[in-house]
Amino acid sequence: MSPADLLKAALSRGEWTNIAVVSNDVGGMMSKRQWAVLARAHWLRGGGKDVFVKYIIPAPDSAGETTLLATERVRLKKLCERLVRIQGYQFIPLVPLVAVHIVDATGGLLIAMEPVTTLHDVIRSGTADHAMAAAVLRDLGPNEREGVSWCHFDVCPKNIGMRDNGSFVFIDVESIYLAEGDHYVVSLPAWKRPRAPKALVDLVDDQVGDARLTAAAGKDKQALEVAICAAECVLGPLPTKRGALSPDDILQWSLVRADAIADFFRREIASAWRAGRLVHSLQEIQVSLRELIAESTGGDDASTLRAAVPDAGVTLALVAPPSSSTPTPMSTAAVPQAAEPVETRADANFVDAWSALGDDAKALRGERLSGSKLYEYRRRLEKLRQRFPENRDVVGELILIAISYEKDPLAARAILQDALRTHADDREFLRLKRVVDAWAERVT
Amino acid sequence: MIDTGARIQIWGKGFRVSADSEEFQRLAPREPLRGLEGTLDRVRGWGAVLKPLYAQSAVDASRQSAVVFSPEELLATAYRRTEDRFGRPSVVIVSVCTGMAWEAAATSETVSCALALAHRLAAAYATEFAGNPSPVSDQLRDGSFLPRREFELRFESPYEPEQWRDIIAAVARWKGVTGVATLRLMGLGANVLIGTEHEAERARIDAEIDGFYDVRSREIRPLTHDLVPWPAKAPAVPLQPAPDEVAVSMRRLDATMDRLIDVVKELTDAVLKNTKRR
Repeated sequence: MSPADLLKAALSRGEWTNIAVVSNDVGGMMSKRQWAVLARAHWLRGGGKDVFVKYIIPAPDSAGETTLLATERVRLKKLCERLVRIQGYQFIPLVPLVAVHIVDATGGLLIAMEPVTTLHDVIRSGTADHAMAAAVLRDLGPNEREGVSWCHFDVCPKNIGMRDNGSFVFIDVESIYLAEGDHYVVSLPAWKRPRAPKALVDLVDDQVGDARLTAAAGKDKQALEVAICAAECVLGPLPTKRGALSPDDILQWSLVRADAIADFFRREIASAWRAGRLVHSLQEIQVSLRELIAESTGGDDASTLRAAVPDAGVTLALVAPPSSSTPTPMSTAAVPQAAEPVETRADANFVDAWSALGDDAKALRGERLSGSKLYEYRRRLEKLRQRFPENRDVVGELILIAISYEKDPLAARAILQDALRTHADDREFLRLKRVVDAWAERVT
Repeated sequence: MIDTGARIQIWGKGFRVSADSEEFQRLAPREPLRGLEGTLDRVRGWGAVLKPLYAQSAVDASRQSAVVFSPEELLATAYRRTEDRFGRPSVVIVSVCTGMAWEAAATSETVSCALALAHRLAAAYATEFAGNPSPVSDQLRDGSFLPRREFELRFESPYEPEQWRDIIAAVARWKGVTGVATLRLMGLGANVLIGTEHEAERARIDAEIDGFYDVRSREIRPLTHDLVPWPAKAPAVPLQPAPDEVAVSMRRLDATMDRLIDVVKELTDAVLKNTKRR
């Protein structure tokens, strides 16, 4: 019996009509490996609804180890129970499920959900924009509420759906886990490793080796993956290449977009790539993005935005480019500051000097700056640092050169030690220093 | 919004679910139905009921409805045309049974929602049943076609709500109304036709019709003495005697019984005396 026939036999025709099986290429691993059948159908209950159906076929006894791991009957039953529990938490942004149950006659798991458009399709169509990025951050942001922690283990544009009302939800619902104490029991650790920095891949793989992911790691993982998806709304699909993506690959991502919002996302994700996790919380990123959107649209409703997100605590420094046509030297991280960025941007001398470095910054990222030119660029930055010791962007650029281009841990440590004299409590500098110290010790 | 559950039943033919599978029969549920739900089981002469339906278009079918009543429930029925495995016309009937209270403000909405469900499911099943496909036949046979026949009415968009509000208001004024139906479904338990006097008079040749609901005047016109207006504000269900009336009746009965016993005693004595004399 073909998978399509299996599905049609599994669905009670008195409840499901207009069943049309869709290509396995549409779905993820489950359908591509023919562990699941996907279909569009009409559900006769609930007033009649068009739905998207995922039917997970139970593994036969003769199945291989991997198939058994994914679709063994016992797992499907547990998965069904988990989904029923998750449905009870209205705050989890899960695609509305209209039916979840084990089909008695076959033992397969039937999941019927509201049809959505995948974020993947939206991005590919070119209709995604910064407003959608903000909506992704808003809707898929926190994964803790009312004492319940949850985690989607495989966040990517194909597993995010846009509903008719414009809100975003997670699909691929079997990848959602509820925390059990301080960890998640990940029964099927399948996720998009090439879309994550190596440090995160190593951390997650190390933990899920024994099927456990700490709640903290789950939170960091999901936050970064959601931020990447939001960035893709602005910058287009994440670059792909053989081997792992580097922070510089991220900084080169869709350079045709040279506005402040694109630049903001590049810096944020590149910083995360270095750190192995997001430097700022999703909420902070959301606030900053909205401020940038307000600025780019000529509005100045930053105070309103801050009021809308009262727990943000901090406002991100907005390292806007000196002019839209000038490439912006980018710091290793956009770091929280209070009202300071406004004053910094208002300093005409700094803006002029910063703008003058734009060509070198661009050449650096294009790997066209080496030898004496690189030395000269660093010297100009150091002079700028002496003139504006409070400015963090210059420090960030110096650290970037030391770590990524000169690969000199001792120089990076010296820059950080100097920066910490001015910014003693700066979490980002402190964290970077710990990393650089460890690096320096290994080298020396 | 109403919050009422309903139980459905499906009728059709051509599926191998019983010994006489080619006969029009109840396909789901398979167990016996009692009370108002068993109304269609008691229909005699399905041939006469079905024959006019074969020629009806989908639009015509969507305008045909039947609703029969008991004091606590209603049974709403709709049909659609389909075809059997040989391409011949066939019919699917869906009935929806749900509770109702005549005193409730939402009575007509309940009727409208039950009809909406009946029409919606009849249309869907007409498509599913076309050609009597084997998977459907298999599911009907093993009972997996509709594992639960309970549906929620609160999700339905009411069917012709204004017209049914007027019809239910008219029905509530008459004693003896078993149900109301449009012309093509008059054989399914209703005795009041929704239509004109002319249609009602013609339909009386084939069906027992006690009156008709005049769409223009929004009133029921009786054609027999079986329809009697309720006294003003009279309830649809006769009231039980009040407790004091019962007590008076019981006392009268006791007195009557006492007198009867006395008579029996006198007769017995008289007979015994005569016997002794012999």
